[in-house]
Amino acid sequence: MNDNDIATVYDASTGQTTTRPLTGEELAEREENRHKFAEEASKE
Amino acid sequence: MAVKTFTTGEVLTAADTNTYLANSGLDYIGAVTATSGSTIQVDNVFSANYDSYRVVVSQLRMSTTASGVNFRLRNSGGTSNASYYYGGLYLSAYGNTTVNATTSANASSIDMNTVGGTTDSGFAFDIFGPFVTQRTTLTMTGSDCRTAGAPRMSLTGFHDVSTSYTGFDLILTQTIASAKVRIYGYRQA
Repeated sequence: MNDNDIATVYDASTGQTTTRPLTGEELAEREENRHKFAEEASKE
Repeated sequence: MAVKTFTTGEVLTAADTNTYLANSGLDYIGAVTATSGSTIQVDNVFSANYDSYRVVVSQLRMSTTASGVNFRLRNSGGTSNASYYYGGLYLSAYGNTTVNATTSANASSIDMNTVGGTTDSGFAFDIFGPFVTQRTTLTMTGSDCRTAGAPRMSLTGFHDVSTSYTGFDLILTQTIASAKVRIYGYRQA
């Protein structure tokens, strides 16, 4: 796992900030979002 | 209560103090700083105490390249990632009157923003009714410090399900170098 593959998690009920690994579903979605973002950015 | 001017030596009563607290604009709820990763998950910030909230994201920089930012609601059951999101993100460049639009419709999240790589970015959004059991709406304005590309941004959007949510995710496409997220509630007199 690299530093890119984590989520920073803040819980206001405790005031604590932690990290967790991104799930497989989240990683797949990020790849999909990257492609979509690249397509949109090319229109700017 | 209208604005009241206190005079030197006047006693500030508990009633006055409580009234002014009740009528104040924003209550600080919490904050999170991220220095790595690509998602910021914020839990348990929406409650029955407030109908509407302001979220301020400042000192936002990416490690290397520009990033998209997506928004999603969450509660104790996890994220709401079904196709309930609608939004219109409008982007424009300096010296160019053309406005580009990115829309979300029946999407699993809202395309909220873009971050111009290692340059500083900032944006704020107001979110209306996330905790109450009704549809949630939001608006966003933001900018980054790019002199090219499309650094000026605004958004309106909504989540088309009448469900109560207690938090949200900011889902970026690249690695965060720094980000500060502060959450406030609009005080209700």
